[in-house]
Amino acid sequence: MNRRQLIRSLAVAASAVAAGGLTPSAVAAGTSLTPVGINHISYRVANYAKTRDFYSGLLGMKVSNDDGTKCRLGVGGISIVAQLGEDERTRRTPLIDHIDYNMDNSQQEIFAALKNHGVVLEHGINHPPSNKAKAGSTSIQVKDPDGFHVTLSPKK
Amino acid sequence: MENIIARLLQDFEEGKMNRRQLIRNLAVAASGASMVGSVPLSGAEGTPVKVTKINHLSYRVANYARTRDFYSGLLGMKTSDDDGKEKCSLAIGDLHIHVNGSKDPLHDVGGKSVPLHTPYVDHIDYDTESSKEAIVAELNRRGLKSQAKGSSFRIKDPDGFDVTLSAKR
Repeated sequence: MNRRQLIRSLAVAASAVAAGGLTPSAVAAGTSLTPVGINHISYRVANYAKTRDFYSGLLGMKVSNDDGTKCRLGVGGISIVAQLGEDERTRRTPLIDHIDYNMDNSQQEIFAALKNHGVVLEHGINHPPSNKAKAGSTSIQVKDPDGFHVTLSPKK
Repeated sequence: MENIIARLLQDFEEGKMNRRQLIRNLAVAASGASMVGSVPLSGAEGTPVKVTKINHLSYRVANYARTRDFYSGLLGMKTSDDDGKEKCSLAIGDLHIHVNGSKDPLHDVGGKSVPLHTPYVDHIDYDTESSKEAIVAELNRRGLKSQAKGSSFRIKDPDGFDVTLSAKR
């Protein structure tokens, strides 16, 4: 870029940081997605019933979708999903397998933003390779920079 | 009460507890019921500590700035309480992820110091409708050990996850 473009870009970046508290990398990267809330936190545990009884018994969390092998525990619009691990990785319990975010973006917008940020799609246990999502599943799974699994559920 | 006893017996029959543990648990169940009427040890029948929402998740990471930039950059989460050194808070709605850089080489697990491996979710904090005294009483009644910090109580769930319960203010 030339000198004029440099000055203009620096001014835009500086004003964005000052106005919105955005980090420099966020400004540089451009588009952000819009999560509207956490949908669920996925727990892998040795005995889901023991986990269910603790959270429902002590904390009064609402049990739903209890199929005898797993269940959801609700609190304030967020669920903890308690279930046994299904493979070598997720059988190492206890483990927070992933955190699922409800997004205000379409699947296409999410794919575009991930590409823009250089984030690679991940294979998941419940969520297959995201660009080959199984029928009924539109969730997209990635890893954050620390290695935590994050799933992004597009707007419906 | 019958549900509790049935569950205890089932666990005993399936070899999940020995005879001594069965007797102890039955005794605790009976004494608990006599003290507080028919409050069960667990199950949806009694809700002595009522949580209203998750307040925050606490992440331990190797490099807090890298985590901050990912969540604020990609997901647009609002950053606050950034000390520029080792921690910040990332907001999504009224829920926060507290990001803490690891500064301690050792971590306390069950009273033992073990090498710290990041990343991990240090704890999940719940807001409750219960008073500090009510939380203490219920944790004591259930025989749950806790660490108090102000009006917050840190306990372990049955899987070993750390949970903090914040009393109503």
